[in-house]
Amino acid sequence: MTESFLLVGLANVAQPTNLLAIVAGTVIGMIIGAMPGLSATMAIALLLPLTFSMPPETGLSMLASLYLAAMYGGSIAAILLRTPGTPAAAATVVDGYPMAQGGQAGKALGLSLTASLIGGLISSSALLTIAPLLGQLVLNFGPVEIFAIAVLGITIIGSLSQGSAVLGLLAGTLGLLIGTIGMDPTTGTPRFTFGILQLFGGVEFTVALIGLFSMPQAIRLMIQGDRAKGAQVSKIRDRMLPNLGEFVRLLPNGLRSGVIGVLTGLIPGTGGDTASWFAYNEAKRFSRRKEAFGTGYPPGIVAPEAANNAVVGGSLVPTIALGIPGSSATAVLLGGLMVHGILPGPSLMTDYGDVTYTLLWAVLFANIALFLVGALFTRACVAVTKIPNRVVGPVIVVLSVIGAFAINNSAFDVGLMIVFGMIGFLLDEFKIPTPPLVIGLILGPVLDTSLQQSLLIGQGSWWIFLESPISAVLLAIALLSVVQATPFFGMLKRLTGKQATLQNDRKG
Amino acid sequence: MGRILVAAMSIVAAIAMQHIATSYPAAAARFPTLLGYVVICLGLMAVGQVLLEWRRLRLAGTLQVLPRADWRKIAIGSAFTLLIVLYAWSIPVLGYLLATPLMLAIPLALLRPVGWTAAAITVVAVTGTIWGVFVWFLRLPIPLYPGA
Repeated sequence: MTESFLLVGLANVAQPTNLLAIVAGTVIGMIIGAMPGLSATMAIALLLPLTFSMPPETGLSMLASLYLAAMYGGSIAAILLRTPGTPAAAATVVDGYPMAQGGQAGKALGLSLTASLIGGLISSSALLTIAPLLGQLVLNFGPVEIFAIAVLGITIIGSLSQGSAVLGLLAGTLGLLIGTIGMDPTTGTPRFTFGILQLFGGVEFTVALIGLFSMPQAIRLMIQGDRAKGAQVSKIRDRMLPNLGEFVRLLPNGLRSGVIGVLTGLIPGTGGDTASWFAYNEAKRFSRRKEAFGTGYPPGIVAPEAANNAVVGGSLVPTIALGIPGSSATAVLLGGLMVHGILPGPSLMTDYGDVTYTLLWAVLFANIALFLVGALFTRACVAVTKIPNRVVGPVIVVLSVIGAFAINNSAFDVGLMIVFGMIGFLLDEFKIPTPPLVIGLILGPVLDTSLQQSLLIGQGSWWIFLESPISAVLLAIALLSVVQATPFFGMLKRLTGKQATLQNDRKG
Repeated sequence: MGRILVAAMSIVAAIAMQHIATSYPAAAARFPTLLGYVVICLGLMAVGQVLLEWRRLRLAGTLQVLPRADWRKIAIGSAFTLLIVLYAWSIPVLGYLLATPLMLAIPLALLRPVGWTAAAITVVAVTGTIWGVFVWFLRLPIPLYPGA
């Protein structure tokens, strides 16, 4: 079954329309990623409405290539402006900008592009091998195990969120609560709809995504205005791509960082930013010239760029195999699947195998397209980095409003998008993580349905979740991740620490 | 302070949803009720966390409950938000071809991030491109003119 889907996916992705979509997605992603402050997630959310009228394979190929290309695009602004285009490119600034300032902007961008290719190829190979294996395993899971996986997903994403874990968990639970709006999956009772017909089908996930990721960014760009002039490198005069000798030298670092990226991506809640700093630190640790890092040293660019592109494949593994998005960007990609009527869950690899495997292959093809497009168009992207924030802000708003309207041709959706935009802005301002909220929105219906089914199987007994060993273990890990995130755990640690010190003092 | 506000609003929303759920069949009410309890617990923990942080900052003499307001930024943010709402409202009334150039032109004219020529090119190019993609290519039925 898997082999035939692999071949179908390969045949699908090799269609001229899909290849064209991959190239188009790559160009758009690179341009959006190059604009300072615009994230890969926002790029996918904004462009999601564009894919509605396309066949699922084409739309998803475009979104996957957009995601990858935005990751690389982020490094263009990081290297030239010292302002990372995406959070994942923050570590690239450390060595990329000094190298560009030293008159080697082309070399810095070429290293970033080559490292992105290495990381991307590693991650797509991992995706094509791990996801089907995990998918096969998950086919044996019933509602009880799926409930446990979803609980684990939301708790890990919440507790690993940047800032406070309690706030991450709160945001995730709020997402789950918002996800209960609409018809109850078991009894068909409309819940929290207040008689509004448009809410009977639930909160339109794509509308919420566009609002949560685009509106806050647009408002922030308007508030911030433009950075101080004079800091940017505005021209690329030198050669971009490394020669064979340079390529061979960067390969071990690129491979190691790629593996770091894949492994980091596999853990839900950790994204490109975590992976790139992790890889940067490892590159420094392994290097004989530690003091050269931060001065425009090539391994300092290769490590974060290979890692942040490798995260894409890693984070797609739980998304595809389990239906649990590993990051906000993969949550938006999952939204792309849902737009085409493909529901997240274990059936992704079987019932919708043709589309899912096309997506897996598209990631591989997108990496190659990114390298070619990047080599040709990176110089042109320099112009994009100069667009003032206060020009980009209103354009985002127009795209978001028209995109939200495009989903159901509904003015209600536009209003809902703005409401979510305001919620997202407030959460951002108060440093409350938004990704768990988005993932909660996706997992809400999954959890609700699997909970009801499990309790039906268990004839109303909650012990059913502990009778399955897989479910019991997953729920125990989830509980642990919640408990370690609470202030009580910190207090307990301090208390045990104090007791140990007292005991040592007494002994002394 | 903002975090306390969000946590308090979450608790209120959770209690309200739990109350509304009492009128649903048991199966339909189960999940939102359960989530309500979790939100209340996490909301209280979030408030507790902020209060502990305040206590620490007060002891260090650096506590600032309300950060100093930057009124220019607040004015720009509020005005832009109002413009977003007006834009969404105006599309069915004025039509895309009038509402969009206005949405783009107002901030460009007031904040002047670019010169007049660049602003005019931006307005025309963005309005035209989005029309080309969504209306011409994707055949989306957006009202284009007033009363359309």
